Amino acid sequence: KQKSKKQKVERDTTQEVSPKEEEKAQEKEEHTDQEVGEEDQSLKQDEPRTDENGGDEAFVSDGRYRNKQRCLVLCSRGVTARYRHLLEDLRTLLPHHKKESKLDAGSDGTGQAVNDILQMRSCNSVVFLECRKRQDCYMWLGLAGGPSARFHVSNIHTMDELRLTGNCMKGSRPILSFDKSFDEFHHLRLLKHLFIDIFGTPRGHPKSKPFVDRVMGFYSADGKVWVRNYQILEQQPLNALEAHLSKKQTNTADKTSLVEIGPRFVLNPIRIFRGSFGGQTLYQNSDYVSPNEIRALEKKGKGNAYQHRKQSLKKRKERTEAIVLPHDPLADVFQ
Amino acid sequence: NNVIQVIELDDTTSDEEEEDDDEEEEEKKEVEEKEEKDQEKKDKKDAKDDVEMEVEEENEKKEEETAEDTSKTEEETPADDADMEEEEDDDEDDDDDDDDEEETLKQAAKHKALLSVTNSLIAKSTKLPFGERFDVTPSTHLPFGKHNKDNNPLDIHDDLKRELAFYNLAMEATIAARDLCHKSRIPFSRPDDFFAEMVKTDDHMAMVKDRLIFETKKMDAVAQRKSNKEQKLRAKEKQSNKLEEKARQKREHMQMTEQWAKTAAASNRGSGGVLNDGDDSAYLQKLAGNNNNNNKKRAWTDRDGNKQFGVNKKREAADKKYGFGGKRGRFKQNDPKEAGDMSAFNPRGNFGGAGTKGVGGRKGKGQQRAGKRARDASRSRK
Repeated sequence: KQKSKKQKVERDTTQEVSPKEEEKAQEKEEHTDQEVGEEDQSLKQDEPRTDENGGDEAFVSDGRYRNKQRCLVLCSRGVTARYRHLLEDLRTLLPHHKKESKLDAGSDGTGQAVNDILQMRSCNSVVFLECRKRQDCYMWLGLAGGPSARFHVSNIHTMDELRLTGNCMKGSRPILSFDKSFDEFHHLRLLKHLFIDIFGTPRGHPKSKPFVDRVMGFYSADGKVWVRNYQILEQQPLNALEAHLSKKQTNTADKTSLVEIGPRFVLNPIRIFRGSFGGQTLYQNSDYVSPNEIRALEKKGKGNAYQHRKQSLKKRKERTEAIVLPHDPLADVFQ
Repeated sequence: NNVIQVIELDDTTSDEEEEDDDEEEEEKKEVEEKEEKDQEKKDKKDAKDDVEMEVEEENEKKEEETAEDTSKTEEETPADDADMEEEEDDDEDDDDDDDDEEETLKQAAKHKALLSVTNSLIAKSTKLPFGERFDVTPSTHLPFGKHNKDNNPLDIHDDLKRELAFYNLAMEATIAARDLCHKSRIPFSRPDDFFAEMVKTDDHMAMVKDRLIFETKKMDAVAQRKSNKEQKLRAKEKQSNKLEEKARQKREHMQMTEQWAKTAAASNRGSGGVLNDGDDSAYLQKLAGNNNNNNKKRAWTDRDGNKQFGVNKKREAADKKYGFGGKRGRFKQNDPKEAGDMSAFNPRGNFGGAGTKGVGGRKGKGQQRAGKRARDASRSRK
């Protein structure tokens, strides 16, 4: 009975339920704040403690914020309304973000400027939205001191759109779902870990909420990365038949369904760099065609019509000159 | 295995090629190193899928091929054409192999760097348990590329099917994540009384709701319009049929009566040519046929709006009680017997004035008349 009382009290303060609260409480007193590295070892010490289920995944957090992630979210000047809204949406979805005003690149260039700001704000990762010619939007995702990637963003639908009807808790930790091909290609594996660091909310963050509300799906298709956000809806089944069916499929009686929240966008990877905003190119997407090139080709295509016409005129002239009837010796026989 | 063959080739080449051989050997060594790294990586990982193996083998083969292309043309078997290849090597190396080699070196270096960075990232993140990372990889492939089960790849531009594929994959991921969360004792489902600030405000959700209602209304309106049109058409058809039927019957009836009128005079009648009223009723009845138009078996709708067939008993009872003026009104109607009752007729025509009483006057009460109700009631007894 005492144990259960303690559990009740602890439930108010900590965010997760655990039957081993007593032992945890003792450990808490012994614990001091440690770096993540050392903490990992202590986590590892906890891991072999087996559960009733016998699984080794039974590690329970003590509710403290250990995996500290801070993500700098900013944009360049010249960003239009749609991209600004996208950035705002990303900020609401990332409770571990740090907001920064529009970046005006200094003499050293944007990369250096962003790195300086990263250092100043002591952030681990960065999402930088760069808009060129008020038309094309490029997104940089990077880790401080680590690899960074540049993408071309397209097909943006923000959360404001009325067709995206889902809603989720602000600060709830998302499930990150990756396509199988993220395990197969090397550059995609790297991108997968970038996404986990940036888009995954760290456990125990003060602004994070305990229950799982949201799934963030990353799909690799056509050489691009498609990003979707869904809300997880669990509805009570209406009758016993439905309950039975859903239990067979998903091991719970609730009928789970997904509703799209937004934003949704498509990232076309351009390059992956070894350092933050520079350094050795680790990967270059050979299928990427910059929007400038596309526009240039289109305009050339329009000019082709004129050239084509001129050429055909020339050909016709030559042909008419070339085709000459041979002189017929019997032409004058009859008058 | 390809690596081993290449090494043998190196052994058989002449001294002239030593410099190139050295470069080649360096490349081979790099490739070997890479392969060793890959091997280590393979050992580190627990489970290895066949697909991944294939991809990595393909990558390795690609590297080997790019490395080999610069050195030799690998179509011939090594033992036979070693001398030939030496001569070809001379030409190739002189012309543009330097650039190619640089290219491949760069590619190899890039690949190596990519692998090393990826591996370090992976190493960092595998230290964290599932509860920290929250990442799930569902086991089904996307149906866009070669992995479609019907061998019919889905077009990426087919929006509906594409989004459906994404949805299904996310569904799988949530189910897998739920299991993992249960194992790690992470609470998954939100209880109904847990309120928290949401990503979209209530006002926004109200707008969303309005839009949804509007869309459903639109759909309903379209459906209603369609059904109305159809119904109208059918009702029109029905009505026209009815009218036609009525007209036809009327025409027939008139024709038959005319016929009868023509033949009636000529026919033999029971009363020897004198017309009596009741003579032809049987014949006329037959003419009219068993005209069931006036039968009570009409369709009627009950209180809940359901169509019913057969006699409506309530209607009949009401008609009987209140029809044709009700009790009082019906009393005032003549039936054929009463209409033909000549008993009150006095051929002498002795009309009295105001003093004389009516036919079958009252015996009792003096000049007092009984009330209307009493008079009607007494009248009905006659």
